[in-house]
Amino acid sequence: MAEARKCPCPLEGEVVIVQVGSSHFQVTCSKCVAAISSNTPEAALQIWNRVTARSLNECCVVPENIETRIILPSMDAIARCRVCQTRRLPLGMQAGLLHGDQRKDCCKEAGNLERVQVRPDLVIDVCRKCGCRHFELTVDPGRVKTEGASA
Amino acid sequence: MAAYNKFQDFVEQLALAKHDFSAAGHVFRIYLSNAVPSASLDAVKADLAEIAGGNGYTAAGEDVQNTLAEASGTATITGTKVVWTAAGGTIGPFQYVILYNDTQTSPVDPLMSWWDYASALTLQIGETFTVKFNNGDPTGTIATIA
Repeated sequence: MAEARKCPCPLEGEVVIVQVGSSHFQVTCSKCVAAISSNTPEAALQIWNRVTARSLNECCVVPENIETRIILPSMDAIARCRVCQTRRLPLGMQAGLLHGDQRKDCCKEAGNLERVQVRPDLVIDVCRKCGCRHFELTVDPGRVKTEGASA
Repeated sequence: MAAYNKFQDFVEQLALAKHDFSAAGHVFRIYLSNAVPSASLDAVKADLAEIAGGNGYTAAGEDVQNTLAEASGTATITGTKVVWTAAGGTIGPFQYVILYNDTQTSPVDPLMSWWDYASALTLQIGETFTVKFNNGDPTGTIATIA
């Protein structure tokens, strides 16, 4: 666990193990997009070692080149590089690459989106090109009150 | 806006100084659930099932990047909107957005509040689900203490 490991990527990043939340551990490269997660650091590292046994091409570490992700029964995710095709690299379900707004190009064009106000708190943007729905839920703030006059 | 629902245990934990909302304090996260929350019975994250991780959904949810500011006797807790994108498969179904303290260890991951989407939702590949606090973009009020 403590020994320093090098990612096989061309960027030669350091392999880092971090805890994600209370019950998941993520193994990531400090420089490329490769990441794997599991319930224990040992399991995450084991998966990492298995799937990074092959070296990664330069094109495989560019997020824009990552095209396909296959979710295995183990919940591991494997991504394929659209440049070299034959390469696969690990991408954990926790990978930062997957988090956030990763809309397709057509969904990023405001002109392609049809906005539907379903409820006061819910807006859905539907892409006319691909049909994808983009849900936006607005949530009310909470209020904690202490009664009495303030000095 | 989707109504704020309080877990009853939250106010006790607040009074017991179990929560630090400042940016340098505790990490608060929201996660997605398809289990009906109980205001009286659910107190920690383990009490309320989370949806499975994968396909763009990170188990344990996402950091809301909470901050705290006080003015004129009112403390305001703010957070940054969270966006999930389904990639490689579907996310869900889920109906509830749950806010909890991921840093606190005694009790472990105490719950704070939840919001109800009102029906079970499954994100198909390429679809996104955004949670905005008090309609703020990207940051909005999670709660105030006055």
